[in-house]
Amino acid sequence: MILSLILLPIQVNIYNIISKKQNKKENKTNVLFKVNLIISQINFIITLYLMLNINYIINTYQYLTLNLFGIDHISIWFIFLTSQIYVLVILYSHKSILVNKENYFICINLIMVCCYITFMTLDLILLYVTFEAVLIPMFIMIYMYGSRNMKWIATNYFIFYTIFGGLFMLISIAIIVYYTGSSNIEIIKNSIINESYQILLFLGIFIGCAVKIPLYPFHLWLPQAHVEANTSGSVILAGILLKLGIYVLLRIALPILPLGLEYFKPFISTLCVIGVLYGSLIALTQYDLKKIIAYSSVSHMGVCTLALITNTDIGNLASIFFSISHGLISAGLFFIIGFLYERYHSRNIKYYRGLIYYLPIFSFFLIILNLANSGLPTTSGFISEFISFFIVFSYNSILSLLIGLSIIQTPSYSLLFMHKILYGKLSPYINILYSDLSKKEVFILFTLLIFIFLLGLVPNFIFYFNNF
Amino acid sequence: MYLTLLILPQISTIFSNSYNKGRIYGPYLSSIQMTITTIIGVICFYEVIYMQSDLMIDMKDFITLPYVNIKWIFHFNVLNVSMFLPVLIISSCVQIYSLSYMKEDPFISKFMSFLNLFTFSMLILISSSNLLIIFIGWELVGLSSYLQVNFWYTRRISNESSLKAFQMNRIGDYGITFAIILLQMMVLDSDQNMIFSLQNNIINENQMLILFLILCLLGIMAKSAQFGLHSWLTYAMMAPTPVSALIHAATMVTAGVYLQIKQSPLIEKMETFLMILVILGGISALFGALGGLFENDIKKIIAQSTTSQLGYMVIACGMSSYNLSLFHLINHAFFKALLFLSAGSIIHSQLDEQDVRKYGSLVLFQPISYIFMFISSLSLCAFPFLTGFYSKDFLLEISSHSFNLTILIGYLFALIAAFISSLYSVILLIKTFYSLPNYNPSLNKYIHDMDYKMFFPLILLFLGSVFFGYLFHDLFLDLQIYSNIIFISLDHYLFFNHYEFDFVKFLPLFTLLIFIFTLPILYYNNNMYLNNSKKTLYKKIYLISDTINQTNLLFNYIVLYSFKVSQYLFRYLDRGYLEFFGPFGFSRLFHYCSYVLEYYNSSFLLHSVFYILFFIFTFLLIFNI
Repeated sequence: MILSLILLPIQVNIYNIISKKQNKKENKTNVLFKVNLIISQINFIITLYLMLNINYIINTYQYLTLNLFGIDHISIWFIFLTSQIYVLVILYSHKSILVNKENYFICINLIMVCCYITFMTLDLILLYVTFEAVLIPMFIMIYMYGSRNMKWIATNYFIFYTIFGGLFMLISIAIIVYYTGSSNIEIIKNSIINESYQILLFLGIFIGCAVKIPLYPFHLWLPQAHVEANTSGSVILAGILLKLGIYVLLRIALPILPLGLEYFKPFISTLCVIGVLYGSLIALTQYDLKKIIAYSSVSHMGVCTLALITNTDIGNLASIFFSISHGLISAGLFFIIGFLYERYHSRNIKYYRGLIYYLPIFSFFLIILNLANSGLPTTSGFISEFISFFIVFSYNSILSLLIGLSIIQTPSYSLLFMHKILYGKLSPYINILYSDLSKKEVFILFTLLIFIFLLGLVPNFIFYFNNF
Repeated sequence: MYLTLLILPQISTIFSNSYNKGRIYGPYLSSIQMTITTIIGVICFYEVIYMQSDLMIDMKDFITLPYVNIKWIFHFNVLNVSMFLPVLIISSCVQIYSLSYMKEDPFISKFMSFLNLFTFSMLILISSSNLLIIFIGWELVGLSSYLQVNFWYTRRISNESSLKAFQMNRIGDYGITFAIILLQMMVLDSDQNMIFSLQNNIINENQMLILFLILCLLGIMAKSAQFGLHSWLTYAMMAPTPVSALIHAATMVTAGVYLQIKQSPLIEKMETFLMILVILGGISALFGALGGLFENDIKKIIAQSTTSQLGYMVIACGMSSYNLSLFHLINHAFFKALLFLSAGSIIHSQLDEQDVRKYGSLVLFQPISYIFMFISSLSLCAFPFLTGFYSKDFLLEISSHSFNLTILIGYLFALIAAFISSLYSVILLIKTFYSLPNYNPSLNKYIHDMDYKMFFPLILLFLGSVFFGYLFHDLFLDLQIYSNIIFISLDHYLFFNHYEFDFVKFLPLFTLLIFIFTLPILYYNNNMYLNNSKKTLYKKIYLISDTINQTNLLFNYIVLYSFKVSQYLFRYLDRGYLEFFGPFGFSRLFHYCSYVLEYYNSSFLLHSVFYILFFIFTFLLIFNI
């Protein structure tokens, strides 16, 4: 059952490669799109089936296949997020990606396969391999579909930062495997590791994850990569790749190395608090629309990590909820900025003014997504922030009051840029007036909004299943 | 029936904005819906208060976690139901009124949809018993206010003021969010009934309790426009006038006071917090009234007066006579909505001119608006036996008989504010209705009095602001009814003697009468012309009373500073040190190293031999000796 999640994208990729070698015709590309879309939808249906049939009370892996893949109550939510974004990203390519369509689909499918394997595998080494292998298709994607000449630098940043973090992670995973004599997570969980070892091992894994999340001093690659990547690239980055770090911390660092976490708790929490305040402060004066969202996700992921490292049941659940909600909201924001970019080919705030007169549906979606990003009740942003603040407050009240300042800061930048581009006189640079959002674009945003409001109004959708 | 009350406005939110046909039928449908809802609300009021049948609707769970268990519970008790009266009556009046007022606007259906959204969220705020669900209503109310202030989004100033209003409210939301978290920590439940029953377990002057109350105060200050965070209210006057009447005068701004009344069992635990409330309310009553003296915009004058009246409600909470605060809230809603809506009629006939200096002698052309405005101003100044008298005068009397020093200080503030409030309302009346006309004569053909769609809701509010206080003061000032919801500790009860003759008792009335009779005479002799800026005393008072600009200076400084810090951080940290010790510095270092190696790599055999021997010897020296 769960093997099909991995095998289906691979099979489609074979089809993509074959069709690339054949002579191209006009109809061929459309068929290609349809095949990829259907496969992604099948994956989504399989995920929904798994979500309904999985046992949430048991704390072990289910649907074990080959003693290598399995899912449990943590990974199912990340798989849900991946499948959700998989469908939307494939759908986005329709009439938007005009050249090298096959390559685009191959990259997307490879990324998704890597993510699925990371979220499902029981093997530590395989987990590390796929955790890092995501880089390659992502690199190709940024480099092939990126917009400007700066993309070379951005890909360099992206690659070197992640490899730098991954090196430490590889060393500590190798030591864990050597020490316990097995690479199976279930077995490693039961073995006891010496405290002095745990501290060093945790540091290695933490650096690898902190680069991916990204936490404060390691965040430099994120705005660069977001700015240079195309729309679906940024959506995948914000939606899935940032959550890989959270997942690895949840999966390895918390159950296997609890004493190491305890040792580094104050250090990590200071990094998180600085990241929250710093990210939201810097987003105030950015000119690039994508950079604002990138810095906002730096600040949000800080809150998520801080909820995670409290190492309680609610904290774990809060971080899962936060990552799903942030994945959906920031994916929506990157999509909507991408739609604007397709029309006017600029992301500079100063270029735009008074868009609401000509793009009312666009501005409706932008307003709702921005309010969701700033944590308005009835959207998932509010619930995730509230529970995170709650659990952090029980850990340390002053830290919680500090990161709570993001309640004031987040709307200040998100509404500011929204007001700048939507209202006021129509900008003189906008000579050609394009049509409002098309059906495809409305569908993409609407599906995201449905899930955002579903999680906001019925948060027990996630909480109830994860019974304690 | 009770749930239809909540659901109907929400349905109407969607259907009044329906595609294509929304403009024609939507507004009418939504106003009919609102009147039905109002009738249901009045029946609820009758059933719950007179038949004494509390009702609790327990719906499904909202959040189920080990320490956070929150349910959708709607509780229709005496306090909640008595809040229904102003909210529902005024929102139905405003909807009918805006059928005429917004008739020429192409987006009237959107406008109605926002009004319905507001009423829905306000009903959630009122009727739920859990603090988190109250907070959901609280936020949605702020959102609908934001949308309405930005309703005419083509104007730059309305964009800016909507942003300002939203941001200021977010400061309050910060407080409320953490107040809920603290309550969860303290009582393990944020349900109001649970708190009321567990109040004996909470220790007086507890450290958690102090933090909780301070954070709660932040939310109340932001929402109810108390001194310090009050400047957003005058900016919110960029909204259409019916919205200002409904949201920014009658109902939304009183949400903070309402929350305070709900928190009575916790507030009563701390003496100092009560003192803070009295002082805060007194200051905002005084400065709101002073600010009303010097404004020239008719809506801003009324907005300042709203701040001042909200100050009275907070004083009443500080004196722990919560039911009096509730009564003043309801009375204030009636006469302030009447004042706003009749001012809206004047603005409409003057082609959207809001400056009072450009009005004059409108008593001849708009007699009905004049009557409504006159009566509501008298009710605001607590003229005997009008609605405002029963709460405002009662408050002044009850505070003058107290033995508590802070309450006496609060009384002093409130008394001066009462003088000034009669002063500014009389000046407003003179400038708009009695003085010589200052508007352009070409406007003459446009001036008209209100039509029947405006007249009908106003007559309802007129009746409310004349008779409501007389009819219901026995009900609201009776402590027996509210004993299950409002907790007052025995030391804080305030008693007063009805029959004792006292000079203090008649002070507000005397000043009011003096102002009414002497001001017109002074005005026509030009001695009291308030725009005479040569007088130094006038200047000083003006500078003190201009609190909005003073606080704006502070907030603008904070905003400017945060922008500067942001730029500085981005330049010197993100693009500076982090780059230098990160990718940029390393790449330069490696480039430099390779350059150096390249330089010495001369492909000459002796050089290579020299390097090898040199390194071997240095290693030997280091490790072998």
